[in-house]
Amino acid sequence: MLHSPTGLTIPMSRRPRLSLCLVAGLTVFATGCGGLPPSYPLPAQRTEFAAFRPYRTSYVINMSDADAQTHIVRDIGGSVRDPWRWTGPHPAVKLALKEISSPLKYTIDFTVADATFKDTGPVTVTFLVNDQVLDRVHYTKPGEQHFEKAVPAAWLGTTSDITLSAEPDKVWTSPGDGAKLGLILTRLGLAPDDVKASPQLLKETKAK
Amino acid sequence: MKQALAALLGAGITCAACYAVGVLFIQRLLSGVQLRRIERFPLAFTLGAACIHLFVFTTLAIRAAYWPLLIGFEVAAIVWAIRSGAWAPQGLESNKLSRSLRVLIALVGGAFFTVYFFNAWEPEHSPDGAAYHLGLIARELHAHRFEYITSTIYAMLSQGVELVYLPAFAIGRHSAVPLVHLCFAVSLALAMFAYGRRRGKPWVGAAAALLTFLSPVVGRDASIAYNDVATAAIVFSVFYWLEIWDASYQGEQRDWRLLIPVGLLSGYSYAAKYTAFSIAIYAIGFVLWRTRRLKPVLLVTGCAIIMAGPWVARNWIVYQNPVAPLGNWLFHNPNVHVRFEQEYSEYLQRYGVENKWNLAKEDLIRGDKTQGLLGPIFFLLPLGLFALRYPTGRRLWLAGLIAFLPYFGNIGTRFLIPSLPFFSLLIPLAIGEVPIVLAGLIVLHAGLSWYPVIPRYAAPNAWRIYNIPYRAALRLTDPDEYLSQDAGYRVARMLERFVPEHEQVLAVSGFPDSYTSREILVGFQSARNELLTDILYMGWIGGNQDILNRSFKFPEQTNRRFRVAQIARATTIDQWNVHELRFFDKGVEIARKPQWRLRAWPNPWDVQLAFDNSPATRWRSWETASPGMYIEVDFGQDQAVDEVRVETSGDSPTVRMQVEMPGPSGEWKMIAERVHDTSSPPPASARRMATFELAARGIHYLVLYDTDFSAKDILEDPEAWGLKVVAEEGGAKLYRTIW
Repeated sequence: MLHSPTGLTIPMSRRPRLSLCLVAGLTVFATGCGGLPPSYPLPAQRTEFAAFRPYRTSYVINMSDADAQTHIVRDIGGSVRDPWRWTGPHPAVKLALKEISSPLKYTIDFTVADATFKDTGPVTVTFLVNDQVLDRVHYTKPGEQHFEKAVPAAWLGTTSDITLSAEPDKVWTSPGDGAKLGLILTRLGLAPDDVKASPQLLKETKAK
Repeated sequence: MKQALAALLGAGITCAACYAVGVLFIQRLLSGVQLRRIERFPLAFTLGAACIHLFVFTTLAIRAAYWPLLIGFEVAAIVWAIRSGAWAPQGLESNKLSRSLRVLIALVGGAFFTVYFFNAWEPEHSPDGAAYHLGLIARELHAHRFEYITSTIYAMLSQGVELVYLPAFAIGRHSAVPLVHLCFAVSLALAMFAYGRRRGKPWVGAAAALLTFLSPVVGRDASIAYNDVATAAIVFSVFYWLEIWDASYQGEQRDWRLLIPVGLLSGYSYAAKYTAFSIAIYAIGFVLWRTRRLKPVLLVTGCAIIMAGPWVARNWIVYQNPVAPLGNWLFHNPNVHVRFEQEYSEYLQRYGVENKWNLAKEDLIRGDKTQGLLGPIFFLLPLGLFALRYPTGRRLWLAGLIAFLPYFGNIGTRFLIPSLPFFSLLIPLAIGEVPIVLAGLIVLHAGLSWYPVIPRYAAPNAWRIYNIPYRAALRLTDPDEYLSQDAGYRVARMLERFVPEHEQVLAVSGFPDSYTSREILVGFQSARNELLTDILYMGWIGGNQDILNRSFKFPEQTNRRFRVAQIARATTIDQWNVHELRFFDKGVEIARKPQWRLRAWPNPWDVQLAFDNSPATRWRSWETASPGMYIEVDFGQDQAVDEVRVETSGDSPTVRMQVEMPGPSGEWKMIAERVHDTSSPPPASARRMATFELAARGIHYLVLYDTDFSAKDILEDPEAWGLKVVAEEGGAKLYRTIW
């Protein structure tokens, strides 16, 4: 007889059967996690599409873009994988316009952070194109913000390199290392201004 | 009004059938067992629910879940119970209750029940209820069988309670289900009250029952199509039957038949919610401790397997994982990624509550981050330690703590509900049968839990009951109009109108699936959905795109098989990504041939993505990078190779690779580990390639709230994505691919 710590008594004759069951059970259980993985044939091969709307990758800079760093002129931190980045007081990106086939609008998505807003209070952000003030907007609440405004064609017409910036009038200064934090930037660039691009759409918009 | 009556009818028949099957079970298999009249209803109800769940499971498994069969079964059970005499109240009478206690229960219990009832009766629009709890049973009822649903992890969970809801849903549609859930809540309260009376402490029982029943999170949960309160009722029933079995001790033995409901309900607790299975551990441990014999334990285990086994078997057969959607590190399968499970578990263990010392405050009075509050009265739980002086108190503590343990895997307040009945009993038990004190406790708890009072101390966004929607419940307000206040409902109806039948829709956020027959693939909810979302994100997130060429050059080697192995152990959640794997000889790429065979570990099912020449797809380990991962090619014949190139993204910095080939003895040996990296520009047509790849996988529709991740980029220029806007509703847009 076998005596377990709990006082449970198991006849000797049952022991081999129990262990056999245990081994068999574990074997069945383990079938879910062992063996060589299956192999697969070669799949259908794709062909890369011809480039479509190249402005998409060159005119609007998502902070998550792999090449975002190459467009940053100043005051934008973070690393290649961040979909958003902190800015300093004078963040700016540079775009190289190859050809302008349609009207463009300045477009930006950013966040006024709760944490900095507590100390800075409302901020006014100045939006600039090649250092010319496009607009100023006063933000009285923290949170996600979107701004877009058509850029006068004359501002873009004579140059291929465009610098865009968005400068907050107040920044938060870290008491620890003195770092200055402005906005949380998600994307900044020039997007096609569809309303101006389509005379029909323009007519409909005006009619509304 | 017809809908309202249908809901009542559906819930009424199902609840009555649960009771009928339960009392028939007791009459036929447990004849002679002395139950008290008051405990017979709740114990029969949960037992009957367990049996009905098994019946519905069987009909689904044999593809026979037609509503006439389901309803016919329930009606037959009711008729049989009435005709056999089992239906009639019977059992030992308890001592008469004092008038003051009866008045208190009637006033407080009645008031809260009324609020819950109208909330349950209104058109169902709870987030999980209208999405997957009802969405899945709607699909099952439509198909008359279990469907092989790999598009959501929720389909992989056991549906013990939902299958009891299914016949009610067949008659009364959405609103019938919360009414059944409310019946479970009433059953739980009655069981707790009865337990107090069994112990000769009616005031303790009443106070405990009301502490649980009035708790804000219980009220909210019980009045929607969730299953937490039902699970608590089942868990407490296991404890109750065990107590009855323990009390049946006569002539040196106990009535072994009482272990049958103990076992069945233990297994049913697993079927209801995986985390509730801990009560089975208590049951088995308790029986072993009391008997010191194996046979009773085997009886309990065997009965538990009857209820839990079908779910384990279904998941093993269908999802290749008996505990799907958990345990994927052990049971690798193509349906759920290991990484998802890790990340989701981490989220469920935090809920944004970084400081665990705040957890009690969050769960008891704030109810925002952890979604619901128990009520401030439960700050008195330490008082329950005084109940340790009673054997009953010690058993309640043990059972409560065992039921509480899984809570740390998911710290949402409602995951405390299964252990709440035990803790609710401990507080009044510690105080003792002192009517004036217990009455005060009840009144205080009722005051603090009354729905207009809760906002005075809880967080503004606390998950709770907000009003008494009697107009919506009675359908005096048009249900469609009422539900349309919910943007998700409007989106679901938009999908119904604009998406052709049998088309799937990819989404980033969840929607109330039960209001559309179209299948919505929510980004995180399964391995396939995650792959589709990864393809979508590849269209615009530079960090995911194919921009890094990692080249391994070595003296020319001839072999039939080569592989690239990952040899680093990532300390973060970095995974290994390979967009394309290419082989070269003398500077010329070796043309890919049909006889090639591809193999990878882990995630072997997606290995073709590293060989499809598409910049919008990639093979991913979907696990944190660790040694032992590899991608292997068998060329089918000896092949000379002097360079291997891995095209990848820049988002896995900790990954380290080496090229290997088998030696004469079959052992893999390293032939190159020095890597030369060059970068390439992101693919200009990535957005269109992404939607093309989605279409190639049968996804032609995409629905995104304007605030969803990726939505802004698509919204700005759908054409660049190869998408057209089909419709717009509730702040969301429905897109169709041009492919």
